[in-house]
Parts: sequence; C-alpha cells; structure tokens
Amino acid sequence: MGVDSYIPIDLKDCLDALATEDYWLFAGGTDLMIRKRQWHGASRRFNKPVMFINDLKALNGITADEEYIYIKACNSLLEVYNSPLVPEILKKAVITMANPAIRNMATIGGNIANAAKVGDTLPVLFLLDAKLELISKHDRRIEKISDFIKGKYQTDLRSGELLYQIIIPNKSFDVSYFNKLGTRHGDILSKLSVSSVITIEDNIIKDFRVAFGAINDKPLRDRFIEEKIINKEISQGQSLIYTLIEDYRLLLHGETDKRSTRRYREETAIKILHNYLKEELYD
Amino acid sequence: MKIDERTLRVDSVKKMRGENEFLEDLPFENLHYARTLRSDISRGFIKNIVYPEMPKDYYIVDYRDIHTNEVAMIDFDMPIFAKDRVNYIGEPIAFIVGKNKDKIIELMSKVVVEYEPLPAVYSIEESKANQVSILEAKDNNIFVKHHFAKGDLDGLEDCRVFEGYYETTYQEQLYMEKQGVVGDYDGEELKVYGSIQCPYYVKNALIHATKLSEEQIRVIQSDTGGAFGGKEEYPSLLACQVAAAALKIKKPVRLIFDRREDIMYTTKRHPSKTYIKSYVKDNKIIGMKFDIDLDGGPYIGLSDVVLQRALFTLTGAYLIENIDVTGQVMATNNVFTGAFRGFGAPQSMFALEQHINQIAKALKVDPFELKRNHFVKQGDSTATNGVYVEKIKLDQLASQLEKLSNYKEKFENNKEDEKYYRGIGVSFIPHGGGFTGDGEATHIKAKVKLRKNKDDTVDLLIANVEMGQGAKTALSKIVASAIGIDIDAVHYDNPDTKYVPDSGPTVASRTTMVVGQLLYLAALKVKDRFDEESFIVEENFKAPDYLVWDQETLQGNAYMSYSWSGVVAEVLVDKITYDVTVEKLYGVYDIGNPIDIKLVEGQIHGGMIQGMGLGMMENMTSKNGVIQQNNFEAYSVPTSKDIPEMAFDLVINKYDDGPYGAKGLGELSLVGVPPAIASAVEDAIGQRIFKIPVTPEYILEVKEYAENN
Amino acid sequence: MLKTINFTLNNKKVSIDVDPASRLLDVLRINFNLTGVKEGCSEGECGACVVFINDQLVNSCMVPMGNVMNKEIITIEGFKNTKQFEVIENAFLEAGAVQCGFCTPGMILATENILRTYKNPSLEEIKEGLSGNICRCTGYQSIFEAVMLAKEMGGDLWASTVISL
Repeated sequence: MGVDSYIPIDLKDCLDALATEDYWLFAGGTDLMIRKRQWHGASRRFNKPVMFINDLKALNGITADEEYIYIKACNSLLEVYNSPLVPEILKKAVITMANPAIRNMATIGGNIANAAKVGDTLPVLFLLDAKLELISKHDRRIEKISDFIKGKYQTDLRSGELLYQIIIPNKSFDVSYFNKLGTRHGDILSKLSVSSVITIEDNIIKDFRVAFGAINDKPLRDRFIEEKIINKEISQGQSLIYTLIEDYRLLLHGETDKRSTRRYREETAIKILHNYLKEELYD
Repeated sequence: MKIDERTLRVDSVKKMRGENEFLEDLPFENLHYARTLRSDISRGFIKNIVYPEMPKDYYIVDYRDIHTNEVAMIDFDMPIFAKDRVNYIGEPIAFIVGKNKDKIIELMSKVVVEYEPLPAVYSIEESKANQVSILEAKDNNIFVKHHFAKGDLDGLEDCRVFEGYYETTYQEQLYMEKQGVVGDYDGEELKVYGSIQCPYYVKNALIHATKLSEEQIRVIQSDTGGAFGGKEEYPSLLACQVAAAALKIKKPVRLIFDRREDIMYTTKRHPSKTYIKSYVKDNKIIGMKFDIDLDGGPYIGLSDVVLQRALFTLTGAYLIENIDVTGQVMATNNVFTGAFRGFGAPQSMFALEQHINQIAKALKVDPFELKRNHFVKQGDSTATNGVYVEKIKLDQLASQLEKLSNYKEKFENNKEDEKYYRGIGVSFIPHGGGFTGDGEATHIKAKVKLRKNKDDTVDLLIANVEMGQGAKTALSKIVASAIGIDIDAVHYDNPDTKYVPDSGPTVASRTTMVVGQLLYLAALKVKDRFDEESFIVEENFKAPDYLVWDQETLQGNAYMSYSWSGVVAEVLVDKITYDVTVEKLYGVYDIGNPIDIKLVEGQIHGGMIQGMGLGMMENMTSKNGVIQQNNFEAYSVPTSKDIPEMAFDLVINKYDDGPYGAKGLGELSLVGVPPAIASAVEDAIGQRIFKIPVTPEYILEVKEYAENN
Repeated sequence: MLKTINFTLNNKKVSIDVDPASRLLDVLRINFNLTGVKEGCSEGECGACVVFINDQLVNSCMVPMGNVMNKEIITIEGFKNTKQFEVIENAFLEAGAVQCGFCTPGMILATENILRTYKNPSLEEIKEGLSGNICRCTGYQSIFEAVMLAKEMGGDLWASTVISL
C-alpha cells in the first residue's frame, strides 16, 4: 500500500511534475505528518501523491538588497531565526514556535501554505507587508500575503503552483513587539498573539502597525485604523488610543475552543494592545 | 548497603541506552495487531453491526468470544466488549485483528454500526436532576453514597457561618508510554503481558472472564513507562479483550493505543463538586458540613474507593469536632473515571483547603496561622471516630516550612508591581498510607517471598512493579541493608504471576510502607540463615492491632498511618493577561524516614509538577461526552519552561511498622500543590477562587464578576 | 509505491526500499529494529522520538522517509557509543534524572544538542533546549542538574560552535 511520491532533482523538475499532477507538497512535514497521522507502522494515507521539496537548493537561502529581503520557502524556522537579514519581529515570532526539534524542520513556507489559524509567522508577515512569489511551470506571480491567506487552511495557491519565496520590504522599525499567549510557557500553539511595530521621529509617529493572530480565522490587520495616528504628533496619538482600541474591538471575532474562550481572547488582545500603546506613546 | 547511604537507581543504565523493553519493544513470533471498534454515541442500543467480509487470517473479536463478558474490578458492571448497549463515546465494541495494519484500517473503515440513541447524561448536575436515569439496576443515578458524622452540628450556637462551592475537573495521567497489552495463548497457558501496575488484578480479571483455571493464566509486567494510577484498573479491561483474541486465534495479539485514543478513552481523574458549610467561633472551626459529588462515568470501577479516600482524608490536617460528611458518586455518560495519584484526596483537599483559606481571609487572619491552630495531635479523634495513634509532628513541620519558605515575611510584605500581582499560599495535607480501612488485611492479604540463592544473591518475589517511582531501587535497598549485602546482589525482576506471590497492587502509596516492611521482616529471616545454601522465606501481612475499622459504619481508623505535607506556593499573575507563573514551590514532608533521599526527591519533584499541572494548566473539559483536549499539545502538561524553583525538607518521624520507619509518599507530594497554588492566586488577585485549574480565562471571569457586582 | 532511500544510519551506509511517505520513526523501529526511539505522541510534541539528522535534533515521528535521502542519522543506539554519551550517562545517573525511562533517550539526545549549542548553558538555555521533551515523572529539576553536571564533568568534549543565537 502507500501512495505515489516524487523526489524532484531540481526546481524545474518539480514544476514540470506539478504541471501535470496535483501533489501534497512536503517541506519539513511538521503539519502534514500530523494531519495524516496514522497507526504506528501503518501507511500514511495521503489521498494524492506527495512531492518532497525540502532539499531543493533553489528553495533554500535568504538574501537581501536595498529594497527587499528574500526568504525562500523551505528555509527552516531555525534558519530564519539565525539569519542576520531577517527583521527582528519575525525572529521574535519564530522563536516562540513549538520547540527546538520542530524549529529545525518546520519551514516558513509550510507555515504559510498551511494557513492554520494559529500559524505564528502569519500575523507578522501581514504586518511587514510581505508579498509571496508563486511560481509554476509557465508562470510567475506576486501576491500580497494578506490576499493569499483567505481563511482557516485556505489559500490562493493555484493548480500547478509552488510557493517560491517570501518578499519583505527592507524596513527597520524603532520598536518591534510580539506577544504570544498559550496554555503553558513552552512548546505550545497560540491562543492569541499581538504584534506591532512603531517608528517615531522628531515627535512624529512615522509608522505604526498592528496585527492580531490566532483570534480571527486569518490574521487581523487594518491599515485604515493604523493611519489614524500616522504622521500625527505623539500627543495626538495619545489622545487617539481609545479610538484605536475600540476600532479593533469591533473587528476581533474570537472563538471559544479547547484552548481558550472568546471573551478571553478578544478582551486580552485589546488589553495587551492598550498597554503597549500606553507604554510606547507615553515614553 | 547501608540504608542512609545514597544509592544510584538500579535500573537507569538500560533506560539511558534505550535498551529496556517497553511493551511495544518486546518481540513476538507471528504477532498480530488489534484495533478497537468504538461506540460513536454516548448512550443507546446497538441495533446492528455489519462487518465487511473478513479475509483469511483477519478476525473479529467481540462479546461472543468471551466466556463471562464482565471486567472484574470491585463490581462487574463493565463489559469487556459492549454487547447490545453502549454507555459512553469510545466504549469498546470489538477488535479487528490481523497482521497487516493497513488492511485492518481498511476493514475497520467498512464497519457499519447502527445505533438507537438514548438520551444521555453529561454532568454531575444532570445526573443529580435525574431526568434521565442511566443505571439499569437503579432508578437514580447514584452509584454509591456514603455518610458519617461526628459530634453534633445542630447544637452549635453563636457561630459565624461560611459556605462555598468548589469544583475540580478531569485530569489525564499522560504517562509517556501509552497503554498496551499482549495476549498469547499456546493451547495450554495464557500469557498476558502489559504495561500495568497490578499483575494480580489483571490475573483475577482474566480468571473471571475466561474458562481457564488459575494455573493456566500468567500475567507478566513489561517495563512500564509511567502509570500514576492510569494503569491500575484500566488494563484489566484491555487484558480481557486481548486474552479473548489470543484464545480465539491462538496467536499472539498486541493492543497498543494511539495517544489520542489514550487521552480520550482511558480512565481520568473524577471531576468533583463540593459544598462546604463551616461554623466558626472565636476563630476556631468547630463544625463543618461537607458534601462531595464525583463524576464516575458510566461504570463504577474503583469510584467507591475513590470516594472513600476523598472522605476519609477529611478533615485534612485539622481537628474539627463536629462534622457531617456525605459523598456521592454520580453516573454519567462521560468517559470512565478511575485511579489517579491522590485518588479522591486532591478533590476533597482542594475544597477543604480553599474553604479554610477563605475563612481566614474573612476573619482577617493569616491562613498559615489559622490552619496551625487547628492541627491534629496524637490521640485526637479522626473524622471517622478513629484515633491518631502515632506521633504527629505537624507543628515541627509547619516551623520547618516557615523557615524554608520565609512565608510570614512574604505574606505580610508581598508587593505587587507594575506588571504582576504577587501571591503566596499554603496547604497542609495528610495522606493515608496503604489501603483504606481494613483493606490490607481483608482484601489484599499481601504475601512476599525472598529466595536466597547458592551464589549468595537474593531474589525479591513480589507482585509490585517499577513504574518510574523507584520501587526496584527502594525495595532492593531495604533488603540489601537488612541482610547486609551489596545492592547488586539483590535481584528484582518485573513480576510474573507464575513466579511471584500476590503482594498486592502498586497503588495507594503502599509499596514502600507495606510491602517494604514485609520484605524487611523477610530479609531479617534471610540474614539469620544466610550461610544455608538456598532457601525461600515468606512473610504475610498482619494488621497492626491498633487498626480498628468497621466497613459498614465507616467508623474507626481509616488508615494504618498518615504521611503529612506542608506546601507553600509563590505565584505571579500578569495584570493584563492573567497568565499565572508559579515561581516557587516549597514542601516539607513527614514520610517517617527516607529510604533514599534521591528517590524521595524524585517523587517530591514529580508530584509537585503534576500537582502544579492540576492546579493551573491542565484544563480538561468534556462536551457531550467527548473530551475536548484530545491531543498531546492541547492537553498542556508542564514543560521544562514551566518549572518553578522547588525546595523541600523532611521531618523525621519513624513509623514503627514501616521499613526503617518509612511511610508512603507517592501521592502525598501531589495533593498539597493545587490548593497552595489556588490560595496563592487568591492572595495575588484579591478575589476568591473556587475551582482548579486556575487558568487565565477563569481569573478573567472572576475579575469581571467582581467588577460587575 | 516503494523507492530506494539511501542514507547513513549510526555511521553505517544503509539502503532501504520503502514508501517515501512513511515515517522515519516507523522505519527505524520496525525495519531496523532500533527500539530506542519511542512513539509518545505522534505530533512532534513529546520528544521521545528524537534523533539527529545531519547533526540537527529532529522528531523522527515528523520526518517522511523522502526527506532522509543521503542524510546522516544518529539514534540513541549510535550515540551511546560516544565519549559524550558516557559523560551524560554518568551525569544523569548521579543527578537521579531517570525514572520510568521512556523520555530518557530523547532527553539525552536533547542534552547533547544543548551542550553542542551553548558554551556554558544557563538554566534558561537548558530549559529552552529541553522544551520539546516532556517528562511526566521527574518534574525536570533533576534533568536540569544532569545537564549542568554533564557540562562540568565533560568540559572540553563539546566543541563550542554556537549553532543558534
């Protein structure tokens, strides 16, 4: 028994195969192996063929130029964490994920393609205005991650396509904040997360971004709300804190599940944001 | 070997090298695998089952293959395989057995079961309301009720009255090695291997279920990767199932659970609801009404004894002259509940301790001091009108605890800061060693043997198991010290009922105290005759004469001896997220005398952390009969990043009937921790806590309720 | 569909025809009879199944055979023949860090990983390094002591190449 599988020799080989057949794409495997868990010793029952892409040279490596940082999809979370090119806030998220053994294998591409509600890289990538490069045998396109992630486990990955790399605008921020809560302090999935960056120059709020993870079905970020305090003086920002909080409160739609309650998720996310804004704007 | 010399554990080397053989590692010729067909509904009739055509060498094993379809525990109400009714989601209906796992999975997916569902009961409240009556033999949902009283509550006057309702939920043992058994029948002898705590419980269940004679049944414990009570009575069910399969196909059959299966369907700690009403005069609790309900699931199992221990551990470390105690085990169609370290005491002691903390707060008295003023002393009467016959050193224990933890200063000066509330809490807990009441003498009647060999080695022949607690090391050390030989000269193999007598189950914190004492006495006999070539000595349990107990009226000495603990917990509560961090756990224990300080340390640390899990992070809930936290990550037990600073101290108080004065410890180290933590959180946030685990979600509820009222 | 997967197992070159989607854990235990790797949870949470693949600590229950091609795998059976293991073994013994033993091979490999990663592991670093290994028996404290003791006893044995941070 078992299922068809393919180990491509290079990227071209991979894309050629993808053009003709629908495959489960195996990077690190840390999501797929759980999804398709089976009795010890029994075959994994993948309902379509699997392709192992983790070792493809073309899908590994992190580079940067003046404008962008380029993270190939099959970089492990550990590699993302260790790279000096990766933004602080993404590192802060990555180091909270699972445990060292998982971080050695789980990939940033896998975290994105899986699109789990609790995926910790997602809200940060939303916050960083990340774009994704998706390639297929005959095509190449760029899509904003906020468009690519449609909902819980739903993405805009099209037939024959492979997530090639993540493209992040090469910006730095004064403050990078990432706070994740779980049912214990280590080795845990998120109940909720709050990420934010702020840059202040000459008393003006030059940039401000917030993303909430693991609460709504996909990360919550709203540029319209953020812009309410951008290019404003700090004192104006201070007076707008309550407006911002209430705006976000209306948009947060948490669930009660095996880990937490709706009330806790929504309330605590808002309190965290509120406290953070007070701390940052009332230096 | 000298008893006060530290010894290294005798079984660690193989474990470190990955060389010891847990059940899944044992090789068998022609091994077949079993997979369980389970009920999809909580309660109802099985109208029809359509199995696919079984290919050659694949088998269905169900109630038809069993001589007596009952799992012998205390009662016989649980079937080995459900016949025409089911009473909880996941209840086993049949096995599919074969050699190829893929084939078994395929066959299983084709089985169609037709049910006629019946209304089910999913909580203690629903069970008590009795709108649906789920027990066949009764018209209410009460498995068992107990009541005892002392003094007279009605006569109390001029008292302040305090009331409270307290709740605890499920806890899963989450031993690292999942449940598993193997059955092997060669036409003559039935061998059952298992990751188990009680070889003779299993053997007795097999005798009851099969047509075989006692001599034909052999139970062999395999290296056991943790148990905590979860492998006390539950494996009897699995053993009977796998025996039926082995008897049918005459080939070895192995059943090992998946982790999710194990979490969802094996025995859990009983959820509880407790009501306490206390009468206080001049800062003394002079009367208490205590009523506890336990969720027993659909079959009684060991729930009666769990209830008894919950009740007999009252009134904790305190003397309360007038009490009225009732308890019920309610039947529900939730998962079957059973033994778990503490065995009813964590539930009753959480309620008691928390209630007394709340009285202290209301009286504006330090809980440590209030509790101390109620300590029992030697000669006092117990809750069941027995007598505390032994010396009790609670005062000394409390002083050592105060010194170790610096409690008073922290309690008075605990400062919250910008980020955190800070709190400190204390609990004092007893734990009765050995079986409840006269169980050791009337039910267990433990027997041990020692065999002295020609080469001057000594074999321990007992039915108790090593499950990580250090039994092999502790018991070998007792024997080696008593005889005066090296610990390496003592052999203690995993028990095989063919070769060892019934020294009783590895439960109830009895292994060191009761079995160890029998081994000690036997060892003295061996020492006297050591120059003889080879011989066997035997020692049988004799109840101490101070133990007077009436199982009908529940009066007398409920336990042979008590171990005592005092625990202080320090916690931080994040002011925004209500995330709880346990910073420090301090414990002082009277366990008589330590057999080995490192073994004692291992039990204390392990119990502290498992207790911490129960107290603040292991939140297990059931919805419509289904355990919600059904995978390893969702059921969050403490990881290395959750560990507080732990420190402990001992009070030496030798017990005359324990080996070198030792008493039980295994469960004691867990019970005191949840109340200390809950009380610390209460202290931190200034609001009352009524249930465990104290999760951030619960704290938010408590805080919001206080703000709105 | 079976494929031939070539890799190095405990310093020996091996080759096996296997479904590439099957789990490394299963292949190690069943095909190679290496029962020192345990199945604790099947979701990469408990650490009882860890092995080294190309010197990286990974959960073998999460690794498909298709990702093992041409890699070097060390299990506890291979690691126990090293000098590093000897030191760690003595430390664990001395610290009383083994109770039921089910988590132990995983803890030992995780300890090795910590000692390779950090020059002088702090308690925080030890806790982080062990955060993927669950123990239900010991309460972890004796394991922390064992790691620190191993560092003390082993000293120069571990190259101080920092892998992370």
